[in-house]
Amino acid sequence: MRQYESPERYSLHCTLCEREIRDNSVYCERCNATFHRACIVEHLYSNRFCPACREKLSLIDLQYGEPSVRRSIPIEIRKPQWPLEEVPFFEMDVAVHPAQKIEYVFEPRKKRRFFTHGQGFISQYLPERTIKRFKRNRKGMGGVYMLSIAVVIAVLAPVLILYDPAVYMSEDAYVYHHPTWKYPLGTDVFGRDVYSQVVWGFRSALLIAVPSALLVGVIGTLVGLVSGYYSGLIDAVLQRISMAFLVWPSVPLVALIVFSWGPHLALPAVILGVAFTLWPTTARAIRAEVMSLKTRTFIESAKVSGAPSRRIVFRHILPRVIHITFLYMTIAVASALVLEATFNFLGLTSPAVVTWGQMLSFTYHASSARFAVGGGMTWWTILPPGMAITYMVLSFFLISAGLRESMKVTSVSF
Amino acid sequence: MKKTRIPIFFAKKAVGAVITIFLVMSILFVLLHSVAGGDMVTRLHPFASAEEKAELRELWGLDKPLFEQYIVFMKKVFTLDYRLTQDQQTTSMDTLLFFLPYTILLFGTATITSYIIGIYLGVQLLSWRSNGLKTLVSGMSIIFYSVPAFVLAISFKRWLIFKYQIFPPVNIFNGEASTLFEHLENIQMLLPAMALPLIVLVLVGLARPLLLLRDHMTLLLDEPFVLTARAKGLSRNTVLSEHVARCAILPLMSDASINLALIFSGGILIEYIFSWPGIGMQLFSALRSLYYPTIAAAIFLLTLLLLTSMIIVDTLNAYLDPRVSL
Repeated sequence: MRQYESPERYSLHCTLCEREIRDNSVYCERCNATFHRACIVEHLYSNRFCPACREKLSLIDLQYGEPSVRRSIPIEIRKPQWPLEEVPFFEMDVAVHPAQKIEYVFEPRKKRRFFTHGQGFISQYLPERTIKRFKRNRKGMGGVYMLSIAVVIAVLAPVLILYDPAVYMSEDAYVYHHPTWKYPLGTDVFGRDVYSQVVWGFRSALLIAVPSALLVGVIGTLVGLVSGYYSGLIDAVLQRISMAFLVWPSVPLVALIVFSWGPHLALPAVILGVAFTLWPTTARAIRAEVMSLKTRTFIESAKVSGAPSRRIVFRHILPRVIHITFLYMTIAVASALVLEATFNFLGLTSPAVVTWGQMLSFTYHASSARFAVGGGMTWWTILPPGMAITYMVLSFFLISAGLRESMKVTSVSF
Repeated sequence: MKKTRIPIFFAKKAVGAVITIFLVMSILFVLLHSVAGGDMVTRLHPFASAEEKAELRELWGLDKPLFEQYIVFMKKVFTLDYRLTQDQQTTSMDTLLFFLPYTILLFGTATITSYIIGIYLGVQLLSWRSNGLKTLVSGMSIIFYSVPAFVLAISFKRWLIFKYQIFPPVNIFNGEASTLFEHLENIQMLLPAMALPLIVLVLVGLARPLLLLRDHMTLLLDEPFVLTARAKGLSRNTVLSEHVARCAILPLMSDASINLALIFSGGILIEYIFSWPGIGMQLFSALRSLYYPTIAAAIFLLTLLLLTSMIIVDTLNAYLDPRVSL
């Protein structure tokens, strides 16, 4: 170890910026390369290694002051293996030569994207931003997984069922059978296997839910856009019409449609009824959003530059309100299932189509007709279809909640 | 709100309500007359001879051309005349008006209770420290929101009424009350039977105000006025309930009118399941036999009830929110 006599002669130089260090010098413990404190801190913002020796380095490992020994940086061999004496590790005679200047070459990582710190980056493009947030949202992704499981069950339903879910077995041995290995969830009042019915019910549930959601989305969005953008007479007329459909109770509406079409078309009637009674809420929510968007400057600039109103509505406004459509579509799914079950209670649907609502209604009606009061209501005929409806509704609800959270929208109700 | 604008506001609302009722009844007329398998006569007397049917049609005015029937129908709707024949003593409107107080009692109590509990829980939810309790309450409300109301009703009926017999199985109801006193006596007798439908309706209606209020309040927590209130030295609960909740209630009120419609259309089945003497029960029994006057009167009354409550909500909203002008 050797002390330096004159600090003027052996002035310290920063390895990073190659300027002289007057105060606050910092050196790497391993290679004794000296840095300005500011330089190395700035370097360590984005890197985790010493710029001179490329070893792992953090702010805590840095030593303050001057290095007691100046030595050249071992570039060729970083981690010397045994035996040590064969390798000329460092020269003790550095005092003769001034501190060696090390060229700092920044080596970019090979797979380096444009935005390295993508976590904090928020895209200006709305759908991309939403999808990115949605993927990180636990609620929303849970809903997606639940829904995909339901779709898989619906597709594989012919494989999964044990018995024909629609065939009646009227002998007493088959009626209200307890859950056993033969009948995993027991049988209902008609001797049908509950498990097979629940599995088959996934099909009809999806068949009802998806078209009604699409109808609600399309009608509600179009009406909402038109009445929000063209205020005045059109708006007033559409508002009154939507109010009329809003206050119509959905149950009598669908009942009358079923009466006129017949019970074999009950499911299309339910779909139509849900679309009829739910588009006003969608239209109202979208109208309110469009009214507030209309006053923004980008719409004005589009108008000034001569864009036709059709283009303004569909290109500029629609992408900003489409999330409301999705939210209300998920609500439509829930109410479609509920309404379908309601119709079974009134005895308006075809008994050949197995649905969860039908199972519940059969249980309810059989309990008062065939057995003593409440005697026929067994837990295995109520809970499985009820929980299946809840599962389906919950999955769509979770998706809509996740979507709402990822859009950061709360003005819209769920 | 300016005082001069109040009559104009109500006049606008009234005109809107009349137009809405007109549209609703028009849709009803179209639906009633598009029904396949015969009209009301065929449904009520399926085995009557052709002459008897023709006689009844003539008596009830069902043999006229459709346009004329429509005009007569509309005239009857707006003159509140639901008589089938001129000499009918008790019209279906009278029957339904008899049942109206019970519907208002059930739904009014349920809506007000669910909103009060929902708002209270929504405010409390943010001030609780325990995360588990928060998750529990909001999760339970989400689950109750996604369970269809009638599934809850059937399960409650099966377990709480039939099996464990906590609630009475039969309503004690006197269907011939004429004076107000007798109505009050009826209501007193119905109170134990009201508990279960009320619980179901409150549980189902609780989630919407609760979750909406919670979301709005979480958004408002970043606002500078909250910081100011905290800096003044107000306690956390005071800030939440006095400052934040008051602002967050406003969008809740504007949402309430849509929520009311959903509660009404979903809740009339609850009346049927618990055999609650109300309009919904009458409507269901009329739908089975397709008895036109009762259906029309029930739809009319439900629409009127809904529109009235919507106007009340709008007025309240305009009173509370300075941004909404009358």
